Amino acid sequence: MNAMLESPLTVLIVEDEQAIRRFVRAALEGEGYRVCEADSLRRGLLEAGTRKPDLIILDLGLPDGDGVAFIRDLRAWSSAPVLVLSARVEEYDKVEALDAGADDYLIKPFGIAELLARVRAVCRRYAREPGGSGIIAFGEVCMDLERRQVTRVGLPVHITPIEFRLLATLVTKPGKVLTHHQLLREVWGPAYVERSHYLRIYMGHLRRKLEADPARPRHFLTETGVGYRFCPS
Amino acid sequence: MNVLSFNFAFVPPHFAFSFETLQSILTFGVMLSVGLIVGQLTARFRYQAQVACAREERANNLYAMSRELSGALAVEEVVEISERCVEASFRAKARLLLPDDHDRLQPPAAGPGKPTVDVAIAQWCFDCSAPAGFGAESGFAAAPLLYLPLRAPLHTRGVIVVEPEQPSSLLAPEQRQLLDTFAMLIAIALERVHFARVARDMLVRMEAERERHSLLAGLSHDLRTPMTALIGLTETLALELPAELQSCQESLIAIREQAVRMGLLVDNLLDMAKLQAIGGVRLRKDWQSLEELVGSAVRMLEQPLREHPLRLTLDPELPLVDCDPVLIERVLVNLLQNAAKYTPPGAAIGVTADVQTDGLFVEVWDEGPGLPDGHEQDLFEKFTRGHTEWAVPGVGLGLAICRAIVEAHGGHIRAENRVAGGAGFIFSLPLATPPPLEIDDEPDPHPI
Repeated sequence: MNAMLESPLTVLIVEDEQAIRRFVRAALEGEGYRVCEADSLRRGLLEAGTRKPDLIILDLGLPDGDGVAFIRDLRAWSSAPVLVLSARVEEYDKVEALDAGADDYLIKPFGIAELLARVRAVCRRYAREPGGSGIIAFGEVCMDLERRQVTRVGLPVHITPIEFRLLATLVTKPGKVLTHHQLLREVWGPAYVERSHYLRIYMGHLRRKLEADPARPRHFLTETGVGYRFCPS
Repeated sequence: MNVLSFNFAFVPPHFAFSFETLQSILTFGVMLSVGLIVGQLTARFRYQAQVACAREERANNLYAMSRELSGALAVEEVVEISERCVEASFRAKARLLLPDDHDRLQPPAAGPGKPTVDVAIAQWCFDCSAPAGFGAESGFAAAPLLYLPLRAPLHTRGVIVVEPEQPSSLLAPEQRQLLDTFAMLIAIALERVHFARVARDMLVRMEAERERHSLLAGLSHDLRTPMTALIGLTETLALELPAELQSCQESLIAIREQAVRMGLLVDNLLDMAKLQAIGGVRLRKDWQSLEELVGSAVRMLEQPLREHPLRLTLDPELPLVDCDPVLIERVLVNLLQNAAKYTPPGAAIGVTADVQTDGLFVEVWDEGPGLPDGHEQDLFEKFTRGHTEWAVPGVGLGLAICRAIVEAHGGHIRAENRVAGGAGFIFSLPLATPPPLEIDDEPDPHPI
């Protein structure tokens, strides 16, 4: 957190409920973030343009418009990460928001610990330098992206080309929710975005090869109805 | 006549019949044959003119009726127009009989100038969709009235009963043909009115459904927002207060817990409302792996399940199931949550799945005290709980939600006490063949 104190990250909260803004601000300021607020989508876009926040926390249920449209608009000129807040009825808005370019979501009601964990994860992902060594290790697994090799507890694991593409797509975005559409497009191509049964089958293969208990995965987590998330720790 | 008068007047000797010369005999013969032919032709023309007139009249009648019927918007209008047109066109009394929702024909109200209908014959005619009564070959030929089914492309819409003034008039083939055409036109008009009504009802229902959905979405947002604020602010306060104020901290934890519990209650109520939507639940089906759904349900319940050994026995070769993932996960969460809630710490909880001929059977079991005997199935009713005096919080919506979800998928859910002790909740989901994989991937040399 010390590094953050030197140049505090700015977080923009777009939320119409004052009480929620209040506690989110308190929680984030306690962690050393600089916080600014907007109570409507229009104001949010304005603030995002002028303050250039490092992270935007966006409530999907704002009365003055469609949060998904906000994200699309924002993505045209900014790559700042977006963390979406959603009430559970809007399950499918959430998927739309992620497909439009949001980075993660939190379901109301949420606690401070959950909020801070998500905020940290999103910021960490963006702060990390791209590229790196090309070697990724998680659990008992070690993966060499360049040499396309995977080992588990030191022993080589056979991975088919498609399994490797899927694995590489997941592990290069640790902590991020990848929607079914995003994964299918990336791994199989745009013609396959509706064939989610491919994903189920191949995720099953990956888990069986790389997870200690495939029925209770620790790394390749299912976000039901949304997509998958790779969790390195 | 012509020949004779010609002979009398113009052939010498004038004013006397004479057949003396060959010429006059020849003339007589020729004129006689010409006269006969002309007479024949004239008669035939007159007959044809009559037929054409009749045909024109029929066409006019048909045209008039179809024009009137095309403007009709209600069943009553169709009935009135049809009866009137048939009566005018066939010089007969006519009556239209329509079925109720259970395909029973409604007996007509007796009115002046209306035929006395035998409802039993009419019902037979409707059920078999075949003509009956006077002159019909298919049945009841001795009856005085003719019963014709109103056959539309999709369904028989009713029966028309005709009592002609002169029974023989209906025996002419073209009259019967015309009557059949009338019956078809009426049937099509009835079908059109029927579907117009269906479409209107559907529109109304969709509108109601849309309003209900937006109301639920709004309600959900409006209820969750204050809940979020309550939980968040309580936590903020707990962080800001010094840890030494122990009783304050404890109160804050209690407030937070209550808020979370209220949140779950609101979730349950809203879900129940959503599941009871008019016209059934809207399922977002997709091919799912049960193993995944169980995995994510277990992850959501990490906290409540931490004191129970968990036994997941799921065959990796289980087929994919076509279901709504969010809802089936909800079923698993509710069942696992119940198991955790109603069994003492340390009691094992497990999930097994089994492919049978009539679907995939999933069981969530526990080694707890089991269910009250004889009341296992009552648990799935709304607001029913195993033991009302139990100190475990809840209102008894969880299992009702499970049942609504499973039944919406075409499956069944039941509860039972296990032979080995403890309770088992078993639900089934129908199985189908998932679409094939059409990808070129390197074959796996060591398939797992």
